[in-house]
Amino acid sequence: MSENGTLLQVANLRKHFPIIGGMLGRQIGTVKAVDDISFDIQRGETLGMVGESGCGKSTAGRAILQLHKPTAGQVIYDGADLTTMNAEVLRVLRPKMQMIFQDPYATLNPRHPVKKIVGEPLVIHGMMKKGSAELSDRVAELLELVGMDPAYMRRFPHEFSGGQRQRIGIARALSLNPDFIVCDEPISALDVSIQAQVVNLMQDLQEQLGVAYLFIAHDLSMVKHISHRIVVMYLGKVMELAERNTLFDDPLHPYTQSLNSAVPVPDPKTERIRKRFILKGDPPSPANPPSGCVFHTRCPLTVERCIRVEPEFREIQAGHFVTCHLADESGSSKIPEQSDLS
Amino acid sequence: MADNTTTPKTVDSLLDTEKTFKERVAYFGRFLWRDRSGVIGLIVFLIVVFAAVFAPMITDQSPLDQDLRSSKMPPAWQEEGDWAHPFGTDSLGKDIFSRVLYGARVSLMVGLFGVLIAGTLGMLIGAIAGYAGGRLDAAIMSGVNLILSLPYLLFVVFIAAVLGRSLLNVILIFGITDAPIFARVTRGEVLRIRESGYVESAVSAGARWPRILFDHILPNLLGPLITLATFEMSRMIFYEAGLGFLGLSVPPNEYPTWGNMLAAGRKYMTSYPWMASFPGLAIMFTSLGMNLLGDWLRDVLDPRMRRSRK
Repeated sequence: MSENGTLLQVANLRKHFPIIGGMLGRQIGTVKAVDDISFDIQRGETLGMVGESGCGKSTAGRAILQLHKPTAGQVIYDGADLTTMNAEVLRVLRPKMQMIFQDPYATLNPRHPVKKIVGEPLVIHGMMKKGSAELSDRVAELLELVGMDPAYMRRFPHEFSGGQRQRIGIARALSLNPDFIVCDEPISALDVSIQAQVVNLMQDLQEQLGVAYLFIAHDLSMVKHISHRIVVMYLGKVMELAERNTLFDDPLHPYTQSLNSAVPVPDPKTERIRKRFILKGDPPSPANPPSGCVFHTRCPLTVERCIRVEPEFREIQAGHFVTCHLADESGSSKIPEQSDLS
Repeated sequence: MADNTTTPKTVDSLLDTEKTFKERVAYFGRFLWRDRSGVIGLIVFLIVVFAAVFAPMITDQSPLDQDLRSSKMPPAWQEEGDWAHPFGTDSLGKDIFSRVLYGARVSLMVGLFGVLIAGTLGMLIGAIAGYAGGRLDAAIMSGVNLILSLPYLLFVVFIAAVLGRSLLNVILIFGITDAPIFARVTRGEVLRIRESGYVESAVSAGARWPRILFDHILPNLLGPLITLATFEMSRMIFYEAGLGFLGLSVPPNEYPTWGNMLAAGRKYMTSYPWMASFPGLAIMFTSLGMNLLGDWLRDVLDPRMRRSRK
């Protein structure tokens, strides 16, 4: 958990997608997939990012890496703003920032052998020549690093299981010695037994190589396991950001509290007696977000101010940020124990 | 785990750059042998190519010379037949065997060059439409769909009637009228591949567009297109015969084609059936072979369609 400086700073990042419709292909609306999010990532840190499907987690990850050009805001990597960089300068920085994708099969070219897949970034950046012995050695080394037999390098993606493919994806992401990897739900396509393997592998690699992760997932227990700090997103906005333990033991935002209570407790006795806050309905559409606080339509504590005024993303305690009018140190944003919400 | 180092016995091995030529040929043979109908298709195709290329060496009869004294001769194995004319002669005494052989030349030329033109044109149009997207895509594809909605053979007959009869015209007609099909398939594939995970993965690794195009999009595009090409080739051969039958293909006094042989033999069908039967069989044989070959190529070239080993 060494915190030796900020690696990446995301400031007021927005990514809006136009909705095109009608005969003339005019813009008839905007999907605010990511709407004004800010956080930072320290060197060697894992920042977990959780939220429901469609809350903009993946878009945020891609916007940070400039795979989607952000609509507004800044992404400052090592002091340089990525959003204003031209493509060629950005290309030079790409080796430092890599991505691990959700679907480990779709992201591996079915016509390329493992060696080509893992070695491609090295060839792209001219670090090693295609077909050189040096490249083979490096690929073998990377495969060993992710716990695979180097002899597999002549095989093709379809010959591997999901977990193995994800290891190949990780090996590829690591090939350029990145400082930062966006992991876009790297485990949600895998079996539960394999999930733990891959997560542990990623943790080991972090210890060995000091790489920072933005770990996107919707599985809270997995995020709790791997993250140092956690960002909770809802409808394109950050609801809460805190240290892992703070977030789980003392969540201030009602949304985080409800997410927390959705995690089953592995003890039948406690599980039976504990109170759960179950949110009603679905999240609203990001094309037409609610007024004021985006969460007010589902929040059990909504007051009149929540509907009118959009809450700020503010620091309540050191390192603990919350987007809620009610949040303060006295705990007035806590959902009361006896509340009957289901 | 002893077999970790053996080479994968799958189609992708063909594209593995580290393989020697010999290994590839051996692999190709094994894969072909597994699918017997593919073997038949390939053999049929090779026989037709062989017949077309070596026609003057297989027979010393001219396909165009008339000899009224020996007209309407039956095939050699019937009474009154003569091994000088193995398939007999037509109403003007032309040797049917040599006409079938030389006819393969027209069919193959139309099929080959027609597909080449259609494929090149269609791929270009489809790739532009798929890659550019937006309004250009919409404009191109509505044009393509318009052409595709016309009754194909009627359209071809119309153009053939306007342009006049020659081999070049026939090739051009098929090349142009068939391009929309290639355009549509190419566009669909480009759209699919452009949005695929591995292209995004290449972009995030810092790949420039030539690498994305030549290393990721094209190889994944080629399989479906080669397969389509074989089917379209067989279709063109078929339709060329149709045009010939209607008297709109190459003029019969210039070159024998299976289509105009059929047309000439039609009126003698009841009394001298061999005149129409042999070119008819040739068309069927070639068409069947190409279709079998296409089926097999689809299995070989498309990783998703690959059959599991028995």
